Amino acid sequence: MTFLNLDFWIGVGVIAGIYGIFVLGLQLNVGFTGIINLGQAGFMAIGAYAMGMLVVDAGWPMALAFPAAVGVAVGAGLLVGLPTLRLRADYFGIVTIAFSEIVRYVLQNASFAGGNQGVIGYDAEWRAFQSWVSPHLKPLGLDRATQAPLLIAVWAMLFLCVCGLKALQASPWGRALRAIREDEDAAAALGKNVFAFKLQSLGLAAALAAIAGFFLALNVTYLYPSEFDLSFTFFGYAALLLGGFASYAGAALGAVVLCALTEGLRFLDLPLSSGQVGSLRMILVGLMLVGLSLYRPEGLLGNRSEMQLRA
Amino acid sequence: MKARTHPALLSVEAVVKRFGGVAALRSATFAVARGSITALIGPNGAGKTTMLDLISGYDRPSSGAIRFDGRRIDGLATHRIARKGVVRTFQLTRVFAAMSVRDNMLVGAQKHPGERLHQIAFGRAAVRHAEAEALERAERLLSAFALSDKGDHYAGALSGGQRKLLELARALMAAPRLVLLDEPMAGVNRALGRRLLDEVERLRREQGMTFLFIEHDMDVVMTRADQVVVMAEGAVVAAGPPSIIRRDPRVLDAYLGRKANAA
Repeated sequence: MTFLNLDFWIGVGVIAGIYGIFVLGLQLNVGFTGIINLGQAGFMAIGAYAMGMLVVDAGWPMALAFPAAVGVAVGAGLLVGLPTLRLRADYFGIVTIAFSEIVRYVLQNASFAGGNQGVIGYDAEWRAFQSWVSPHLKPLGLDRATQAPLLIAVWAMLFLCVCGLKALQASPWGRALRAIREDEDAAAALGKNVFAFKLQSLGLAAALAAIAGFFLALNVTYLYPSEFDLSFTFFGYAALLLGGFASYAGAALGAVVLCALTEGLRFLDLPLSSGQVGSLRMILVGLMLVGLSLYRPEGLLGNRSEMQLRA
Repeated sequence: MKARTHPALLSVEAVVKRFGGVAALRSATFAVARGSITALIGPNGAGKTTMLDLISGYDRPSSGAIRFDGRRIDGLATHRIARKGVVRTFQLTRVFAAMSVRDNMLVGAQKHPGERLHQIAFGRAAVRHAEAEALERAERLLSAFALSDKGDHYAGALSGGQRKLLELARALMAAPRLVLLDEPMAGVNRALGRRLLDEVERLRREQGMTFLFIEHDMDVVMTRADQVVVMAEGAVVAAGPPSIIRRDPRVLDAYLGRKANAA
C-alpha cells in the first residue's frame, strides 16, 4: 500500500470525523460541565443499535430511524443521569463505566440485538444514496472513492456540531455550565439548578454519541458489541487531552490528529504482527500523552492560563 | 398578604444541628428584621457558619424551623432558597476562577431565558433582551465596587479583597432580598472594606435590602450593624442593638468565658 492511497485516507478521515463527533460530547461533559462521563461508548452503542434495529426489525426508513435513535440515546442519558448525577464526580465516572459495560454485555447476549452475530442489513438506503451521489463527485475526482460521500457527510455533521456547540457555549446556558464546572456550590447559591444543568449536558453528550454511532454503523456495515468497547471511550479521552480542555475545535482536532497518527503507523514497514502493531499504537498514544503533559499540558488548542487558574 | 405583615424577614426558631454526636447548634432562636443590617457574632466554634449553611440550604437542621418572609425554607434545596431571594457569600471566597469577572456577574442574573435550551432555540429575541439588561446591571454593579476595569480579567487573577467585592457584587446581581455575608471584611484592606460596607448601607437605604453578616471586627459591628445577635456554644445568648449588646454581661461571658472560669 502506498502512502498516497486515496481510499485509505478517506477511510481514516471517516473514522477521524466519527471520533470527532464522539469526543465533542466528552468535551461538553468533562471540559464544560465538570462531569466525568466514561460511558460515552455505551450511548454510542445504544444509538447505533437503535437505528439498526428500527430499520431492520421495524422496517423504518433510515431518515426516521436516525433521529429516533438519537432520541433513544438521549433517553438513556437521562435515565443514567437521574439516579447518579448527584454522586460526586469520581463516583459518577465509575457508574458510567458500569453502564457502558452493561450495555455491551446485554447486546452480546440478548437475542433481540443479534448477540455476537450483531445487526446487519440496515444500510441499503445509505448505499443506494451513496451510489447516486458518487458520480456527482467527479469534479472533485472522488467519484471512484466509494467512501467519499460518507466522508463528506461525517465532516459536514462534525462541522455543524462544532458550530452548534460553540453557539451553545457562548449562551447564558453555557455560562451557567462553566460556573457549575468551576464551583457547583457557588452556582447553586446563585439559584442555578446544578442537577438539571448536568442532566441536560449528559443528554446532549448522549445525542452526540448516537450521531457518532450512526456514522460508525454506516462505516462498518454491520454492528457487533465489541465495537463499543470501553477503550473507544478511553481513546476519546486521549483525543480530548491532545486537543485541549474546554475547546470544541480542540476536541475535533485532537480526534483527527490522533486517528491520523495511529492509522499512519501502517505505512511504517515494521516486522511485526498485526497484534503487535495494535499494541505499538497504544504505546505511541501513551508516549504522546506523556510528552503532552510535559511540554504542552493544555493540549493543542487548550487555554493554558485557564487551566492554571483551575488548578 | 400575610407575609407582608410578618414582622421579621427571617426567623430562626429553636434550630438544632447535630453532626453525629456533636451538637453544633443547640436550639438557636433569633429574628432578622426587614431592612436591617444584622451582625452575627460570637467566639470561634459558636456555630455562626453552621447557621449560615442552614439558612442558605447547604445543610438541613436536625430540628427546628427557619422561615423566610413567613414561609418555611429549611430543607429546601440551595438553589430554591436562592430563587426566593436569599443569597450568600462564603468565608473563603468562591469566585468562578477560570471565568471573566463579567461572566461571574452574569451568572448571578435570575430567570435568564438564555439558560433554557428551548429558549436559546426558539426565543432568541427574549434571550438577547435579557442578556443586554443583565450586562447593564453587571456593569453598574462593577462600577459601584470599583471593578469596572476588571471586567475582562479572569476572576482567579483578582486580589483577595477584590474577590470579596466581586462575590458580593455577584450576589447582588441576583437581586436578593436577604444577603448572608460570611466574614465580608476578612482579608480585605481597610479602604476596600469601607467601600463594601458603604455599599451595603446604600443598598439597605435605597432598596430596603436586608443583610445578615458574620463579623469578628467589633468596630465594624458596633458602627455598622443596627442589630447584633450573639452566639456562643451553639445557642443565641443575646440579641439587640449594639449599644445594649456592648454592655450585656452575657456577651462578655461568651467572649471571656467567665462562667467557665468560675465553674
